[in-house]
Amino acid sequence: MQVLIQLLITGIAMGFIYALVAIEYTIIWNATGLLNFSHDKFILFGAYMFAGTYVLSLGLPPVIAVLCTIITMFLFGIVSAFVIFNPLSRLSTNLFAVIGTVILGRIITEAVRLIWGPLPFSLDGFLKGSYKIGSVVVSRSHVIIILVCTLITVSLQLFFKFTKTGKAMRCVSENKTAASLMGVNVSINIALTVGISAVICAIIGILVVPIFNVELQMSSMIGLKGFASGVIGGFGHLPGAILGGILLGVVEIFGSMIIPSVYKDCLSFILLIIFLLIKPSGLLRDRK
Amino acid sequence: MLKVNGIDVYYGKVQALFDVSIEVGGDEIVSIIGANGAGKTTLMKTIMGINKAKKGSIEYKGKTISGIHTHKIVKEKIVYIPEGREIFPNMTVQENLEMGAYSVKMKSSELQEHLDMQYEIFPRLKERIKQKAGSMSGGEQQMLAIARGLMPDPELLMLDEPSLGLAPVIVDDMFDIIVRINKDRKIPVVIVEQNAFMAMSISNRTYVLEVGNLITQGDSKVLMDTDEIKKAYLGG
Repeated sequence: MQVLIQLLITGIAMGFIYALVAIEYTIIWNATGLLNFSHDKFILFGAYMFAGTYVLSLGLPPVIAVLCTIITMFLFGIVSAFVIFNPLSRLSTNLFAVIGTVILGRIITEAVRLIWGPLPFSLDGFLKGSYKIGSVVVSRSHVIIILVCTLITVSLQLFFKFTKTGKAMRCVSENKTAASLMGVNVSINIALTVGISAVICAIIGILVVPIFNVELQMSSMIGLKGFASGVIGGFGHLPGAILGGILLGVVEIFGSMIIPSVYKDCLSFILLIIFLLIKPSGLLRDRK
Repeated sequence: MLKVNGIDVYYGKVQALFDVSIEVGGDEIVSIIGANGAGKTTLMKTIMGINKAKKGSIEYKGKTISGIHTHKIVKEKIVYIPEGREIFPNMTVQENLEMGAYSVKMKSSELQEHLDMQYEIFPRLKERIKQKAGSMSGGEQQMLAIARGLMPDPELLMLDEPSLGLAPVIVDDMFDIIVRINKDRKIPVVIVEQNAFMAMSISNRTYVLEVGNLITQGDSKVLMDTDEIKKAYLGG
């Protein structure tokens, strides 16, 4: 029994990571109609910046390091919006913008390799340890992941529902011309969206540091699975993204009890294919 | 108040407007009529900065507004209610109205006052405050679009095809409301319409556009009596 609960918690924790990935690219998709193909590299960049520079080189305490990473990644997001997303999305076809984001991903990977080197490293003691509740042992990092992800998803929903800027972002995603006719500065609005997305990427990067080593491939798989969970939940739909992510995390962890765990990564993509065949609109999106 | 001086507008290489000039001021209603593709909407969009004029200039209250961004033109209290309404379908009626006031700084009490004002003119909307705007009928969506346009207290109101796709009874209501807004608020109103008869009968002056050219203009009543206009736009 306690094994099941432990697995469930692990599954939910990974699911929340996938959900955050789905949210992070969905808000850019909604705002610009573009898929950010460099999103997993944003995660990578955030993780290296946090672990490599702010903690290991500068020796900052983790909380300060987290704040510094968030601020730096926010600015990085704004800059990439003005350099890549805004100018390229105005061109006649989205292809340019798509290629722009792919190249941005390459640039980030190579920059990371040049700055922090190709060798993997880890942060000793960061979010390590475990809690014991009754006979159930849960790792500290999984609890933190669940708490932080819940906090982010709830505050994002509140932000979109109740703040003027958040509402303006929803307008921009529904109709850019109408939004500008309301007096919304669409370019700045999109830049803020990309900034927020980059911050979420950074947080994902930081959260997975204790689970994976800090290395150049650390985010590829969660990037892909996050993408899959967005599709499973309903593309472009935030609650769907959360549901899809958690479903994927749980299916994956329980699936690995049945099939050999080397094939664990296949499960997400099998699930993705099943959904594309049977319910391409996703779990929560019935319209269109 | 608003002066468009000889603008040329292109879509790519295709010229959509040829040396068009119009002038709107005081508290008059001005209608711009013409067939499909005459350039009426292009003219509106150019005034709002969505399209750019290659030649000519646009002035509002003595200030040149051609070449500046749409969101800045909106701050000058020019409101354009676009063709096809362009409401935000997945937002509630109330959220749509609140977005109408985005360009103006309002306290929440003022915002509520403005909302109440719209609900008084359009009681139908009040019944649907929490409903998603996209789930309403065409007439209700048009009402919402107009109500949203009134939220920032416009000083110049421009409506693009307010009668498009509406049942005749509702069209009458819509034009009554437009006349009422013009009288109550004493603001100039520009109506772009294919429904030439309706637009001309409530307006003081009319401009007639034909394939991007301004072919004639003048007092609506006088124009309505000329044979040319009767034949081409009023069905007889």
